[in-house]
Amino acid sequence: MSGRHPLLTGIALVALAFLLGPILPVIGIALTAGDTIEFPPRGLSPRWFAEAVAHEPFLAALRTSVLLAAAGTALALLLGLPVALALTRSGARLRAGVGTLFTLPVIVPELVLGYALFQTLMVDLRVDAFGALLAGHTVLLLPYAVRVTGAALARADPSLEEAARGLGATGWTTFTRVTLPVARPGIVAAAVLSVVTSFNNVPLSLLLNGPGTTTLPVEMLHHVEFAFDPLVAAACTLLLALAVAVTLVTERLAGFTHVFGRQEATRWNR
Amino acid sequence: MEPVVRLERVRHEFPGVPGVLALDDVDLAAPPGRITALLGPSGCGKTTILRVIAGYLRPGGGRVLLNGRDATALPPERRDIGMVFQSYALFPHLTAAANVAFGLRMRRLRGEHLRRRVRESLDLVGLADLAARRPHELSGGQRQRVALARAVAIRPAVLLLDEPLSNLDARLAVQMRGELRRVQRETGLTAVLVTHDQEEALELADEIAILDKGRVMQHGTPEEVFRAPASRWIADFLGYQNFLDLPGKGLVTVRPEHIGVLRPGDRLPPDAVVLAGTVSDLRFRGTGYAVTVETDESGPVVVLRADAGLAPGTAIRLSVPLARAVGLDGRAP
Repeated sequence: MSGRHPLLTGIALVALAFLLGPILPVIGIALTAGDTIEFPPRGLSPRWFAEAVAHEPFLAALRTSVLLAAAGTALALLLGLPVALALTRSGARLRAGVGTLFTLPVIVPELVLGYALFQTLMVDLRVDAFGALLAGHTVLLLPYAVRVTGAALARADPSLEEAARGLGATGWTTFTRVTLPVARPGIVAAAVLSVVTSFNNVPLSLLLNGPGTTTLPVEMLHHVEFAFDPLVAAACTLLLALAVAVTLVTERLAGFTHVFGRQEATRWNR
Repeated sequence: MEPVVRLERVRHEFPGVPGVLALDDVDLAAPPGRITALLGPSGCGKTTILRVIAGYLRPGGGRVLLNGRDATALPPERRDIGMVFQSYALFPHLTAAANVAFGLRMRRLRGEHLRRRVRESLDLVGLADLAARRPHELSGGQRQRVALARAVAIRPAVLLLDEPLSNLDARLAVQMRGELRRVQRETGLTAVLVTHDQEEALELADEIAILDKGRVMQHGTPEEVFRAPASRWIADFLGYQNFLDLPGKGLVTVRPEHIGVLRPGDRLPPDAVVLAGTVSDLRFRGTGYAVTVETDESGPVVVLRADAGLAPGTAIRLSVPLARAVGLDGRAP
């Protein structure tokens, strides 16, 4: 921020307040010592955090969410990276056409996608809930895998792979020693985006759940419908802490701004 | 001596453009220990030839021989080539030393052997101090040196240089020419250099092949090619300006510095043709003035003069020494 125009700094602060404003009371509610949702809190106590961490439905849902996010991300990357590679090497027209195809899951309303998958996979094909969830989330994450890794691949010098071949590397060695490491920031960015997207998703997870396969956001939604205690506020606060942790770890590993913002940064600084 | 690289009737069509030949029956030989320059304007096929030699491009027809063995079907990794790319193509995730080590590791060099070769190669280009830097921490000239070190480290059968100096600023490029020449001399490597810069080709190459429209137009030493361009197009490309149709001699070209200006009363030198004309333009060229003379019979002729004494409008006579006239008729078009 330093060195910027004071007006710009002011606008940034207002935007920040607008984003964080509604979140702060949630933290306050979570810290209450009382039994109901109240703000400002009635006395401070970490008791609801302890309750949230010990709440078995939340824990089971968290396990489902983590497993789903990990498996969905892995599948999306496994499918998306070859697509991104193929698109990078293909002509401009094919890249534009097929590239658009792979952004469709972002555009199609998730409820429509969820309902379609529910009908075909769960009703017609009798796939279990986790299988259907995994399929749904993989489709949902595929655009990130294709687009974000594709952007990293497109930025790389196309002569790099030829250079490796010329120096004696086979096609496979070139892929593992040059292509993958060069695409790594893009792969990390795609993975982080995918995990977060999957973890936050409600519409698909709401439609495709079954006994024992409810994700955390859906479980929290159910709890809010029936109970009037600060348990969800505490869980939300913990999720917020997790999001901050993910950001910090990504920053440490690959550089968050490096991973997400480089293109934008160069565009604005040009 | 058996050439290290030999192309025999290599043909290639541009993909998607049937009938237009990128390479039209190219025959080429690169002798051992020499730098052969492929010189031509953009789109003449020079880079395509380099890609065919490297194995990045499988030609539509013809053969590629490396050290006498047919390599036409060999993938790049089995051709033993060291290529310096126009963009350098340094691996961005590896240090300078690891970039240089890449090809050596592929050749199963390990431990002390590997370290020594990497050090030698970086020493050769004067970059031993920067071994631990990543490409983005190096200047353009330093990247160029790392790319060169990486290519020569594997002691390739042939060193391929694709416009290696075109991304450097003019002064540095001229300085790097000397470096390139020195490295080639010290390693004794056979090299094929692609360039569009005739000065670079003249200064670096032992042999020059001039290309146009996918064909080799002329092949010879820099002196042969420069002193006796085989056609008007080549003369044009090499910067000749004066094309004269002299009676009895046909189309000839004469360099501006070889044409004399006759003062009134000067005796006509023997074996020279006199052209009368009017000065139309005068331009300062640093070492002298380029004077354009509109001649009565032969159109504009450029003459090099030490002073600015010839003002536009002056009627003068030029003497063209026949010994300096390079005939362009009766040769390949």
